[in-house]
Amino acid sequence: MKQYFSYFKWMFIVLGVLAVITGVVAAANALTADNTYVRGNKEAPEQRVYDYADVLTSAEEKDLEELIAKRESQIGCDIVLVTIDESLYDIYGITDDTDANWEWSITEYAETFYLDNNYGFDETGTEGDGALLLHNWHPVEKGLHVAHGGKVWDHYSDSMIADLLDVIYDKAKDDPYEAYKYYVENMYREMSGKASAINLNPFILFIIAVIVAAIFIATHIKPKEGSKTTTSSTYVENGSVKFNAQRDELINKYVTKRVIQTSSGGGGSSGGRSSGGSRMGGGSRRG
Amino acid sequence: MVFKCKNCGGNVVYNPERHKMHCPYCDSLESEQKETTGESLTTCINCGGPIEVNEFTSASQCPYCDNYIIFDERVTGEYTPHLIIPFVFSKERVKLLLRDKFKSCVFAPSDFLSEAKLNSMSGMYVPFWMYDYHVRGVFDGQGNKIRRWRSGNTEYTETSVYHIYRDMEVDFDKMPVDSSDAMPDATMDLMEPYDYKALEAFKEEYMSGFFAERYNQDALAGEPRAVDKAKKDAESILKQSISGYVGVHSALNNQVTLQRTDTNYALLPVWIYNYKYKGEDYRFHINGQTGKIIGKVPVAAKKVWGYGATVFASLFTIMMLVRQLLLMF
Ligand SMILES: [Zn+2]
Ligand SMILES: [Zn+2]
Repeated sequence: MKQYFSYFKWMFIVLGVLAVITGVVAAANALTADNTYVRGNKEAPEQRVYDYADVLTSAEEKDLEELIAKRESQIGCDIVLVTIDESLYDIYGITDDTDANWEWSITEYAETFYLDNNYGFDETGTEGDGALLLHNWHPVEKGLHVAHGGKVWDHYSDSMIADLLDVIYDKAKDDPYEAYKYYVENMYREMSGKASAINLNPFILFIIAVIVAAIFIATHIKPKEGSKTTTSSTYVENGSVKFNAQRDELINKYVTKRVIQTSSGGGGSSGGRSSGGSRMGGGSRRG
Repeated sequence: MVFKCKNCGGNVVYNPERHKMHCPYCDSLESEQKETTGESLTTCINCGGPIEVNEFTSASQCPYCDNYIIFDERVTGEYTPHLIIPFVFSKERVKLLLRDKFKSCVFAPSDFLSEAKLNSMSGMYVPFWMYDYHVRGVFDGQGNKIRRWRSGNTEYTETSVYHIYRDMEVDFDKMPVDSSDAMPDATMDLMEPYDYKALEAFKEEYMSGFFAERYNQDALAGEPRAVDKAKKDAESILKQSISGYVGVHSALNNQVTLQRTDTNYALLPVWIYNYKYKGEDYRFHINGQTGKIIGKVPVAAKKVWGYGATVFASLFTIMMLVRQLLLMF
């Protein structure tokens, strides 16, 4: 028993220290609640979730509204969600279905929606703090766009928006509610500075622990006798290796060719602050 | 024969640490005197007590008076070793080596490294045949070199076929093969390499204090193993000279021919530690010159599983705690 504890001494010490730290941090977190921001902009409507495409149940809409209300006061940014199922080409009189037209139309719709409704936590307009996720479920023009302004614009890079849209896109296929919740929580984590929240998969951790334990058992249960420490040159008399002949002659050469199939990726682009035409920052993902 | 102390009459033995003959009774150095009268394979030359030796034993210890006896007729004439590497590691130093190597082995039985058990260790000069070879190896075959590049959406592969020819000669110096039936061949191969710089002309004095055997088979009977080793090494050297190719093959049988140029009979030092656990023998062999340890430690399997479970539980808990911490920050 004494041997057991001395063998695992470091393991148990690390375990104990981590347990204490986790406890202390958890207690500290519980005591210090998040900062609450006071809303500056009174012109925006109360509503945040516009499910025109009807992909959410009314209970889900209500949950999202409540979650958004809570998160907004914690980060001081408006979080708006709009789903539609209509042709923006019809609205804007576009006849050509090109990626550029598609992106322009979804960007225009999202920004107009945001600006016309006077969103922005502290002030209205493009400098107001907030973001809007537009999800078009139209069979041809389907896709996503995030428009953001103010400090959300400052914080999110193009690649962050692209990553966010990728995740939302994937999740929305199975469960739109989870996808939109992810959008809200991503805004919260990023804007509250809790972005480092790495959510390690417990199942993977379990597998890692199983593998390490299995290796431990495997290496200890079967003792090894010892290993070979001679090489092919151990008994070679110094400098006695002599090549009477060492020839490498080219006797034939031929070339074969193969056509490479290139896989084409789906369209996707994003616009930064300087991108032409748009008034707010943001990015889109078609599909 | 037996080596006795001029000063006190005690049994003088070879001391690896001092590289000298030493009397452990009166601490004299180089005070040995060889005694050969009354020698026999059945009774102790010192006390006359009955001793039992097998047909190969050339040095042993009397169970009654503890004197180390060397059997003259087995180290002279046709049995005179040409060469010897004297022990470098004394029993005390081997004990330290074993303790150091296995101290972290918590799964070994508790008395595995006990003083009493380790004291039962004995040093033995194992008979070896050493063969010198002149080897010639020829390789005649083909191999490919591949170059690949892209142009547009087409991938080109250029295959160059080469005729590869090698004609090599190499000399092997003292390819060792043990000539003791009592020693497992595989284990003795793992004892290698010995540092041949310490090879000396045979001296009986080095044997005092240790056990020994004369060669069990003659040089001819031991040779196949040496030929095998030499061929394998030569082939591997030949192979190393063929590089940068894929798919090296040869339609011809590659020839490695060898010719023995010299043979030596040598005694090489090995420490042997026999340990019994749950009715099974665990045998450790330690190279008496280099300290290299060969042997399997007995393992208490239940204990390993228990420790493995602890590793799993602790590791999983630690990782879950880290996960929780990452989520909170
Ligand atoms: Zn003495
Ligand atoms: Zn005796």
